[in-house]
Amino acid sequence: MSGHTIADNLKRLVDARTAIANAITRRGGIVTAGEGFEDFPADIATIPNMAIYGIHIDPDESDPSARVTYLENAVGMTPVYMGETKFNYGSWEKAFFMPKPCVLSYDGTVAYYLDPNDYTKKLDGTPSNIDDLSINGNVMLEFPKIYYKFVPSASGKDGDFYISNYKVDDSYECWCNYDADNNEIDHFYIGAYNGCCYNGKMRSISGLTLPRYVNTAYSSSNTYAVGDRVNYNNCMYECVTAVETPEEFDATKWEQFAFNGNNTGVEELALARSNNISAKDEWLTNIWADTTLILGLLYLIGKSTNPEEIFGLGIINSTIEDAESYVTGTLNDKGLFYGNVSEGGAPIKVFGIENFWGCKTQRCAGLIGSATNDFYYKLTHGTKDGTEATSFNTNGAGYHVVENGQAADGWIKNKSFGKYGMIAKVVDESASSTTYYCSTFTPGKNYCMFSGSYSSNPGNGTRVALSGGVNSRSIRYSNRLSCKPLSD
Amino acid sequence: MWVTAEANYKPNTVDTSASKVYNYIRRNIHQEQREDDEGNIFTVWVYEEKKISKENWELYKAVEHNAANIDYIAMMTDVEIEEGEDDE
Repeated sequence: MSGHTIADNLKRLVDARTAIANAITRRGGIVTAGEGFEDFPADIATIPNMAIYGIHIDPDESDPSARVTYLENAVGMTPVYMGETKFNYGSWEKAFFMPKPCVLSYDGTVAYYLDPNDYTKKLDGTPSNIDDLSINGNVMLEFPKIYYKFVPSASGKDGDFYISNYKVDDSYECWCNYDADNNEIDHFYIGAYNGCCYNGKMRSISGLTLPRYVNTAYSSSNTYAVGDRVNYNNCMYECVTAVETPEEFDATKWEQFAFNGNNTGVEELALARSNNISAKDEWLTNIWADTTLILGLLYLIGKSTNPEEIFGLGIINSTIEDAESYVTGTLNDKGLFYGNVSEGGAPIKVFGIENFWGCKTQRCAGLIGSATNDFYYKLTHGTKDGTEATSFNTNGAGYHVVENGQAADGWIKNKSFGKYGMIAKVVDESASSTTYYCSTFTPGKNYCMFSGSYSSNPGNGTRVALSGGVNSRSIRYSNRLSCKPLSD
Repeated sequence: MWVTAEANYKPNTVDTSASKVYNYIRRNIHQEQREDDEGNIFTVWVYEEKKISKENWELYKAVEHNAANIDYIAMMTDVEIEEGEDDE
C-alpha cells in the first residue's frame, strides 16, 4: 500500500495543474478560469504554433545543396522540389509563411481571397475578376508577419538565416511588416504578376500581355493607320479607326492598352505610387527587404542555394517576342509553385508570384550601389529601420551605408549577411552556374536590378546588378507592385 | 548526369577540392559570347559537368578505366560496343 496520504495526492494534483497552466501561459496560450484538468485540452489549443526555422550556409562548400544545413525546427524536414509536372512540398506545405493569393483593394483591405490552385476562382469556388482592369485593387500575395534575421559567420562569409512566427528575441525583426508610420502590420503584399501600366497606374492584373512602352508621342499634325501605337499623356494607345487627316486626339479612334517595360525607375516608382489613396506610401514597387527575404525562404524550403535547380529556370534563353507576348496569369491554375527545371523558356512561379525571376529584370527599391563600392540600403517605408529617409528614393540619401560592401563582377561564391539581408561578398574563379550561389553579381553605383531578363542564361535568375541606371529605359526592365497597408 | 554549366574562368577538367561531398568532372570546355541586360558583350566558359560523390570516386575511376580498356580491346578486335545509359 502506498505511503502517500490523500492530502499528499491532492497537493500533487494541484501542483501538476499549476505547472501545466504555467507551461500553457509561458507558450503564449490562454488558461481559462476552469477548475479541472478537463479544461486543459481547450487551453492547450490556444497555444500559438511557434516555430523557428533556420539554415546554415557553409562558405567553403561548393555544392549548392550540400552547403545548406537545417537548424532549429527545420532539422529533419524534407525540402521541396519541382518534379516534371508537379511541385512536391516535402515538409513545407503548411508552413506558417506560405502566402495567400487575394485581391487587395487600394485602401489596403482584402476584397477577397483566391483559390491558391486556381486564381480564376475565389476561395469559395465562385469566379474571381482578376482579369478586370476596372477592379479597385490588384492581385497580390498576402504574407503573414515573418520575424527573421541574417546572421553573418565569424569569417564574414555567408552565415545563418532564421525565421519565426514570433519575436524570439530582440535579434529578430519583421522588417517587411512595417507601414509608413513605423507600425508593425500583420501582413505585407507582393504583386502576383509583372506590373503593367494602365491609366497612369502600375497594376497587377491577370490576362495582360506585356507590350512595351511606346516612346512615340501622339502628334495632332500626323495621320495614323489602324494598329499604330502612340503615347498620349503617358498612356499607351493603339489606333482602331484610321486618323486620315491631322486632328486633336480623339479617344474614340484609339484603344488604351496596358504596357510593361521601357519605363525609367523614377517613372516606375510614380506609377506604383499612383495606387496610394493618401500621401503616405502603402503601394510601391519591389522592395529589397521583401526580395531578400523571399530568396532566404527559397534557400530554406529548397535546402539549396540554387533556386533555379529546385524551382525552375524561368523565361530565359528566349527572345524579345517571347517576353512581349507573355500573358500575365499564364500560371493561374498551377498552384503556388511551378516551373521547368530542365529547360529555360517556361515561366516560373514561387510563393504564388509569377516570373519572380526570368522574363524581365526587376528594379528593387531599397538597395543602391555607390561609386566607392559602398552600398546604401533601406528596409521600411518609414524610419523604423533606423534610416533618416522617410520614404524610398533613387539616390540613397538618408539610407544606411555599408562600406566596401560590394564584391567584384562575376559568379557569387559568398555573400555577406546582415540587417540588409544577403548581398554578394566574394566572386571567385571557382564559382559558376552550378556551384556556390549559382548566380551572378554586377557591382555599380546605381539602383538595384534583380533577376536576368528573357535572354539570360541559367544562373541569372536571382542575379543582382547595381549597374543599371535608374533613368535608363529598356524593354528588359520591369517591376512589380508591393503593398504595406497602413495600420488601423 | 551531365549538366551544362558556365563560368567566367576556364575550369579544370577534374576538380576534387571545391566540395567536401562531390568531385567534379568536366568536358567540352569552350568559350561563348553573352550579352548582359545593359547590352554589353562578354565571353564566358561553357562546359558539361558531372558530379561524383567522393565515396563513389574510386569506383567511378575504376569503371572509367575499365571502360577505356574495353573500348581499346573493342577497337583492336573490331567488336561493336552498344551504348548504355549514362549514369552517375
